[in-house]
Amino acid sequence: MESTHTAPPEVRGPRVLQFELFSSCIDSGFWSALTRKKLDVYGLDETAKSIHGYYSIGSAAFLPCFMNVDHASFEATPSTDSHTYPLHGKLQNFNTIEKFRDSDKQLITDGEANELWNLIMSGEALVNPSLLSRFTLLSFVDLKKYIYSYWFLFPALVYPDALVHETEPRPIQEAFTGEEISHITNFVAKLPKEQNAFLIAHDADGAMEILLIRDLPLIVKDNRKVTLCVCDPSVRADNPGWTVRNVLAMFAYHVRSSPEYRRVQLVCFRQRFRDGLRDVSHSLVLDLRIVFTPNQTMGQTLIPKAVGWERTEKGKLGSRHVNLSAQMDPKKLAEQAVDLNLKLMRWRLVPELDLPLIQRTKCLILGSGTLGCNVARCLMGWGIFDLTFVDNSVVSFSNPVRQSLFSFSDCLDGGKEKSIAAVEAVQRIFPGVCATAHQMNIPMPGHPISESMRGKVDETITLLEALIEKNDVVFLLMDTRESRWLPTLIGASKRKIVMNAALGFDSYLVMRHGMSADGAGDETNSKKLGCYFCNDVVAPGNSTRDRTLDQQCTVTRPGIAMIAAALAVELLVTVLQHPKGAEAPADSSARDDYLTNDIESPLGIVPHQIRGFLARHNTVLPATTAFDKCTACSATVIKEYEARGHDFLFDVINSTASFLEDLTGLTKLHADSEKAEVWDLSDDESFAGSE
Amino acid sequence: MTTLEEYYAAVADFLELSERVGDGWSRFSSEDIRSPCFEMIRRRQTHSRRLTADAPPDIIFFDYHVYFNEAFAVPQLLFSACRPDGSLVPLTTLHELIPKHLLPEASERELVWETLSQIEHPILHCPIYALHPCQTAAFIRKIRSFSKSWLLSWLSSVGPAVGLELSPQYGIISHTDNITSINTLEHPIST
Repeated sequence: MESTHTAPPEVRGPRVLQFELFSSCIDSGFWSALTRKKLDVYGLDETAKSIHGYYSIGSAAFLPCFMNVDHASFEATPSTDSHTYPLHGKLQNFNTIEKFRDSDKQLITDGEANELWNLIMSGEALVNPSLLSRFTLLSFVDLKKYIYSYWFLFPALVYPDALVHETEPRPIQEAFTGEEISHITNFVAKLPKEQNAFLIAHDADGAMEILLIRDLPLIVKDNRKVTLCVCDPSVRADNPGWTVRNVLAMFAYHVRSSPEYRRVQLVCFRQRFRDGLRDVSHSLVLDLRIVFTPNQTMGQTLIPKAVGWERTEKGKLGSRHVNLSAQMDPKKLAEQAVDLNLKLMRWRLVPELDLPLIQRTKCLILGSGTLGCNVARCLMGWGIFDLTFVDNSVVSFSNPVRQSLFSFSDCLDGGKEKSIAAVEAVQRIFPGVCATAHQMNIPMPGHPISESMRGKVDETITLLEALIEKNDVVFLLMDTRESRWLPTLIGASKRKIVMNAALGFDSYLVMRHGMSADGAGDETNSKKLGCYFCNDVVAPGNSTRDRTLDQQCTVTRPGIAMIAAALAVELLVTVLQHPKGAEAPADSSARDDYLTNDIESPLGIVPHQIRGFLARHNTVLPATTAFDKCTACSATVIKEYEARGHDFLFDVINSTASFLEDLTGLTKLHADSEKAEVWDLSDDESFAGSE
Repeated sequence: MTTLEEYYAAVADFLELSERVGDGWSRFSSEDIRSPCFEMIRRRQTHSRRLTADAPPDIIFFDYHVYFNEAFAVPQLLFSACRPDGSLVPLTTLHELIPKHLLPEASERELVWETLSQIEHPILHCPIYALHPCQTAAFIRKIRSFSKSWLLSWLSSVGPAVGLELSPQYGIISHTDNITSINTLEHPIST
């Protein structure tokens, strides 16, 4: 029927009492405890387990009617404090999402109704009314994706047929005197927690007596006037909370044959602390009329129905799902912890440290030996996790004691390929790494390539170029000098930061290759720093020829590689933090003020080279400018490479050292210097002769 | 340096005060406590805000724990926050959420935030944020020279930076108990 007439909202006719359903509130500790139980205790056991929850009768205004489960829910006895009351729960954790979804909800609801009804009929709930405060939790835990599916049932009996408001709900102060209220409050404070409901018997002379709910049958027998009081989790001005419903059902059941008790006064007892004082002023008093169906007052009553499935956040009847991977997935936890740990550095020590800049730096590690392993570990310490490992050999039995990413098992069955073993190791150390492996032989000048191999080597060069292109930093950590030539050249051409470390028996060199401010090979820029090859007046050739074994292998004091690797990473990070980055001018120990001058990078000075001598525990910081006839980074070589590409590289690789020396002008320089030596000798002779 | 006995005594005193204030600090225990150091105290604090007048409130439960850090021999404040479904609220969200006016200087709050690290909760085994304990010993030494309830003084100094609310009632009760007012204390970070 359509009607244009609407009643004024303040006029409210008789209406049926409604209850505020619980809202589940799960502490994060509950999920971790459930996960441990599932793994350690339950296994595939799907039977219902007894757990506990609690609710508070002291929630702040405007909050829903919360029930809580937490880590203690699985303990043998419920733990409650002065504000909270226990809820008796059943947990049914299913093994598959299908079983969770397809479980018979009606069967579960009916089972709960049956149990509640038995508790009421047997009188057990009169002795312990908190037994009527119940929940069932259905759950499924996806331990791969850390998605938790769950559905709460807070069973409440639909009994009696209805409870009707006789008057508007009013605050407790309007029904009781201050003295009576403090009497009630003190009584509640002393009640054991399973007594979440109690009675006030009123005598004809106005005196009141507070009694346990178990005295209800006696009161009814004596025909005393009674007020039912229930500890109420709701804060609403109109409705009691969900636990009140079953207590009212119990009350109704025990007075069903006494028509004079069809009108009942209900106190919804609530209390919270305000400024250090108990405040119960938001407790409600409701005058209710109990309405039974004819069947319900008969001796034989059917088991009532139960209701109380929680709805989803969107108000639909259905299960809820929460993704907890951020707090449960160990990989994500490790990432968060590493990140926060690095941030501690900024706290007092280096407030201006730009950590994101460091962490997004991608590093290509050429050589996965003693230096490569330790460089990778130190990079991870800084939160640099994009690592590409390159090597050409396998892990041998002598390696693991020095090469800190490998272990004995990597040496078995002929040995694992080093780049692959390195990637596996860093993934074990920190699953958040983004590490890739490439086994390859870096083509070298002086190591000629047969025509049949040319296609394969061509592919290798293309791959190396691509790897250098996609990284920000190239670490040269190979065991020969000449294998560093090609990546030095490509790195200079692509303007990448190139870090270099080389070891002697008890000495080391750590350096950064220079990068000119105005593009590759700008010879007018006299400030450009040199590369590994700039100080050499010979082109790289086969250094493994005509050498004894101890010269071919890098036989070094074991600590040297660790020192050099650490310095290489720290130098890189300092460079990254310098306002001019890779173009930062070099600080040198040759300058008198190098210990006292202003530091531009927040982490300290940025030397060009660090040369250390362990025998004397001496470190020097030389700086050298780029050499215009350098065989690797001079403009001539870079231009030739950029113009002729791989053809040029094959020319270098397949010809003798003189090819590069001719190209760069080193040959002429040699010739000139020989002339100069002749002149020197002549001078000496003529000088001597004149004596 | 604080001994375990001093910590226990301070916890007992503090819980007595909290009981009178009624703000819900409680002993926090578990059946699998392996060490007495794990005797913790805990408080839950509900934060609700409405983005619009008719929207359901966005509810977050802050959880504050104090435990005894053996290595530093000081109490340490741990905290986390979760939503009703048990999912933890990310640190960046908390940083925006926690009111800035709780500390006299906004910079002091930032200093505390820079020291946060993530640890595994000693009892719950779920991740929780921890305030770095390295300045605590010096601070506690200082306040113990004039404050009897030093645990409260310490909590009221570091807690507000991470949103912990302590009722002014503490000050009133402490004051009537002839204890130095908590408001006159210097902040630990600025020592």
